[in-house]
Amino acid sequence: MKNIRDSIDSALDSVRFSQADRLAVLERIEGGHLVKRKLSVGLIAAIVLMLATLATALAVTLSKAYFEDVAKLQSKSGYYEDWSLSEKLYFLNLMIDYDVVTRDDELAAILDGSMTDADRERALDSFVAEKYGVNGRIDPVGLESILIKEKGELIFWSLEDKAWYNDLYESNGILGYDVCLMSMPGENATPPLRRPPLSLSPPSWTLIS
Amino acid sequence: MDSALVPGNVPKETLERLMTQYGDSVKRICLVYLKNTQLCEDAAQECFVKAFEALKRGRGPAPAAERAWLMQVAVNTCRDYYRSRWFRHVDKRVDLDALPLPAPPFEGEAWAVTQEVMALPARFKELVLLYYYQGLTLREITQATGLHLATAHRRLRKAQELLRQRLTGGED
Repeated sequence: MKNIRDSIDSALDSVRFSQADRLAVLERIEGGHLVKRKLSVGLIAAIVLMLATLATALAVTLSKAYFEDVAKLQSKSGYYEDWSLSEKLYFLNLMIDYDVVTRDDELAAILDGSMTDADRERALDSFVAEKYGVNGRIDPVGLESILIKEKGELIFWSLEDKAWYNDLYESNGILGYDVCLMSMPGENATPPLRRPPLSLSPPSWTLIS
Repeated sequence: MDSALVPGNVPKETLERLMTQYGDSVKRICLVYLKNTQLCEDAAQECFVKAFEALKRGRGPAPAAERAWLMQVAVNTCRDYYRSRWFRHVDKRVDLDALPLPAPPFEGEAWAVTQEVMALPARFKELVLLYYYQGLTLREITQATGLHLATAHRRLRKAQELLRQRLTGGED
């Protein structure tokens, strides 16, 4: 036991209270503030991850706002092919505002009114057909096709997104009869694990003569 | 280093002297206690900041008890770190590569003993560090840790037993 001191001093000989330690102490004392804890690689990774999540969440929020505006348009005027030119132009502006597309020369020409209305509509339909159409057709273009194009097939969405999708349709009055309703469990929902067990006794059958 | 007085009329030289005299020991105690090279740096620095604050408030020790007092501050600082939420979430393995160079070869009896001390539960480890490493008497240890003398005796005996078992592989 007597050699514990020597052992520790020998094994940890390289562990010294360095000049940097001294300066850190003096800085804390003279500066009157606590030295910030060193950022470990893990902490930096966590911060980066947090920022990335925040950025993603912001992006999702923005894109959801885009879809919500499209839903309002569809609720008011039906599918894309039924929209007026001004509504189609409004839709194009939405796409630009939400950074879904970049305003280039082609889109600028449509928006600035230098073409005839017929040419503007033709150019716009062609652009939308290419972006959201099916095999170049614009008749299926609507909220559904736009959502699937931007966010992928519905079956791959998260439960939260599916519930949001349902709310979006319901709140805008465009929920069809054949839509499978999806929603998040409410506060009073019973978790599956706490659900009362089903009766194990077999059902009784009565022979109807 | 200038001789200006730091706030509270505690000469900066006092702090410098304490760091020179006890800095290495304090840092080693912190490393053995916390088993983390980064935390031990923070804890050792904090120990001297706390010591300075205490001196500033006129709560310093008598010169003869300086060593025991500073080790008490070190152990209490380590205890605070050990109990903190932060400590529970850090990787407590000692990263040998992270130790300052030149590092000694991490083998042999000295390292084995150090490792076994590090591996002791905290309540035993602080007794071993204070008693064997710092050479404090049990009475000084009771002042440093707030333990009852009988408890300190019992824990030290238990710590010795544990160490002996581990170092001899259970043989007496």
